[in-house]
Amino acid sequence: MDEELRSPHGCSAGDGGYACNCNRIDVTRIRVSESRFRVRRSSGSSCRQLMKPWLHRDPGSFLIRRRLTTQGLAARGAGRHALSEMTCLRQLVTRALAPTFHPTQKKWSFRAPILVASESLSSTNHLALIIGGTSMSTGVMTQRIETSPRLKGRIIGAFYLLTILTGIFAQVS
Amino acid sequence: MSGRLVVNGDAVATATNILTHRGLFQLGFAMYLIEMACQIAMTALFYDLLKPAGKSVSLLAAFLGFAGCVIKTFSCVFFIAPLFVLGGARYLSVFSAEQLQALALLFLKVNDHGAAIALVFFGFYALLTGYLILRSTFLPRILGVLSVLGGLGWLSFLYPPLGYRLFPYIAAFGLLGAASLILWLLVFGVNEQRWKEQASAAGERQ
Repeated sequence: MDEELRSPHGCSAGDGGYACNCNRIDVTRIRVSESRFRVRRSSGSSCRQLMKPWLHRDPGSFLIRRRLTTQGLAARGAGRHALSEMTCLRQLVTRALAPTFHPTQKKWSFRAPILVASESLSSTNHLALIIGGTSMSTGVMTQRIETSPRLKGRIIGAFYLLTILTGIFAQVS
Repeated sequence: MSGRLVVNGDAVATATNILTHRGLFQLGFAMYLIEMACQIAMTALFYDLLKPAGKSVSLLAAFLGFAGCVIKTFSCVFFIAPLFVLGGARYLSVFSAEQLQALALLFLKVNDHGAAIALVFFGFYALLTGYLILRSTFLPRILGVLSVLGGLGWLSFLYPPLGYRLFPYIAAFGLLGAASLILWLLVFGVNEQRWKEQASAAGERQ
């Protein structure tokens, strides 16, 4: 049963792949290696179709879409990041990876996954499988920028510099 | 602007300077407002950045910072008031020229004292921010130490005569701390991975 469940995703726990049923998206950068995300013969057609764009890419770094779980978003709101989200994803994997297989129709009853992964999930580029596809949007990009602490630090530095300069200018000149 | 135009204890010279350099005086007012706008933005962003090091302390620091900003912005009303007082409006003819000049200088003094009160709040803010930087793993501790010491300096304005007397030293030290922090943030930002780790750990604790 385990093998049957894994095969449609072309991804197993060993691959560092996760699936989750979720409703928000995040944009993130991944590195895709050739060996991962090979769709096996037993994959559902929709699964293969959705994964196709990724399968034909050369290994490297890509911007991809990642759906965030409700828990993941809650974790982000609470200031938690990579590890918490990863935990959430892992928890949901169990549920998401338990689709019903209809032997008569030879079909799986879950929505096809698209290939996604996140550097924020793991520094070793663990990959995540997310159920269902979504589109990239400006809001999503903005969210990503907003959550970058390094960028935030630099913006603070710029504002701090402006504060000091205008203060000095107003007071001394 | 205020440093050049305001002559301590000389209402006549101050009034003359203000009226002669009206544009410069208004520019000084605009600079104060821009300074406060930047400080508000900085305070809000700092709250978010330092949240992983202590959410409650970061929130408290932000409130203290905002309080300082509000006080200083409000005191700016007294900075611009001399322009109205010395503007020569007809309804002000009930006052003599000397009275109006004295009033203008008084308003500038009130502005100074308002700014001094705000400095106390900024002192508490810097103290807490420094503490959070010390607790954080994503910014160098030395920046936290400098911020704490700078904050302690600004707290000398709890007793204004002491604050005014020590002002050149406090300001120099405060500037050193601020410059170090600015430079670090602009060049290196924060250690993103450590920030995420600490944010994650803080999330797990809650």
